[in-house]
Amino acid sequence: MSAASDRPPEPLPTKEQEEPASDSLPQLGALEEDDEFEEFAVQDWDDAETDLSHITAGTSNVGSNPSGSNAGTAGQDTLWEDNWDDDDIEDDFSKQLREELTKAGNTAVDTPMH
Amino acid sequence: MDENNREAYKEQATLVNHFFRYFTTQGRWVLPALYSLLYELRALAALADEEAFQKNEKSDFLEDAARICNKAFSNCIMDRTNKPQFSRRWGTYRTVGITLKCYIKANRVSLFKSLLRSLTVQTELPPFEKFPKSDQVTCKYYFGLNRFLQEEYVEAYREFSFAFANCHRDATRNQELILTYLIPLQMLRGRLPSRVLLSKFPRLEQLYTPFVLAIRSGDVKRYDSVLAWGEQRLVSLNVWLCVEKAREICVRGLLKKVWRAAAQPTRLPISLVHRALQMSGIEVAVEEAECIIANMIYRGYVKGYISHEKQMVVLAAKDTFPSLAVRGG
Repeated sequence: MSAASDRPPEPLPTKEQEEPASDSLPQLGALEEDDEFEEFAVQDWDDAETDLSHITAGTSNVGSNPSGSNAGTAGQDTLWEDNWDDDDIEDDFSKQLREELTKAGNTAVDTPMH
Repeated sequence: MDENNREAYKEQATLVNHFFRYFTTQGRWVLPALYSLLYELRALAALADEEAFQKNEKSDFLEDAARICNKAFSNCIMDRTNKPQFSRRWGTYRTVGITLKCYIKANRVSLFKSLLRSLTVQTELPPFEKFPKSDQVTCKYYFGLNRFLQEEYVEAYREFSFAFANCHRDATRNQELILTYLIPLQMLRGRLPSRVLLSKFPRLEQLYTPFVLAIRSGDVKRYDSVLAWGEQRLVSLNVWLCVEKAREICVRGLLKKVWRAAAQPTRLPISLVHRALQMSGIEVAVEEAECIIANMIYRGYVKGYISHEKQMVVLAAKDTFPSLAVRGG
């Protein structure tokens, strides 16, 4: 795609962390040699022995789990977070964006289309 | 005396085939004997394959073992003589598990299909939840894997969720294996693994935390560099495609951020999104920014349409960014 001509000429503010984040990323440890699903030490167990299922009871309802463990959904939030999306995080990027908006003037936003 | 795993395998295979003649005249009570014969068969097949591979010779012992395990499965499921409680059908899911394990190890996931088909047409099986949990969880793991590899992510999610929820708490390695797939599947649904969860599985924590952080902050550039960083590992775990797909969640986050910074308007100039992309280090043309938005709308992440002439995204006033959980992957 020949994008060069479409770009505005002036330099743009970029994120502080210009470089790929690889420097701050850890070296990954070795892969587990055996990637097989292991034999269980015991053949059968009840819900009480699936500690994680207790707190994920809400999730498992999605699956075909008719026995549906009795634990409430309270704990499931401790494993999976689905409300992160609601937080209006005021980070640097949002601030920069707002500045950009002011610079661009209010013309663009929330004005009726002609 | 040299080890000869290939000969050992052949002897074991003969033994199992002889055992079948007896097995099919009996009921449920001989299942434990069958299982231990099959485990040994599979273990020997793996050793034999390794041996053959090292000598640069044909190594298809695991495939052969899979065929024999598949036969064991048929011998279980075809039991028409015993009463339900004494039926060999109680060996169905265990033998399915062993067979699928052979297929996986032999890199023949494509053979899953026919086995799973013969399972679904079978209506006289005892209810799934009556089988031992170990059988249930093992099968659900492989069912999930099968779906996952075919990119049927909604079904895969369902299977892995079940497996994870019912897995024994001490089987940490199995939990880790399930989560290897379940975490990117959840991310795709907009659900992020918590610190509590990740802290129990250091390897997964190391691998997935950077993605989680990038999604949280709607930092697409960061997501891309993390993808590049983890590519090899993700590919070897077979999860690259899914994690790459979850990038959409990150792009959605970025769009939402722009929308919020603009005080949640119903009209958003494409130029602004373009600008935001550039600011976050994604160098694209305006047309490509428009294309990214169009895709977001098409994929159901954003409600609205694009007015191309006016270079404007016209957004729905309500539920502009539908909840990811509702969207359902």
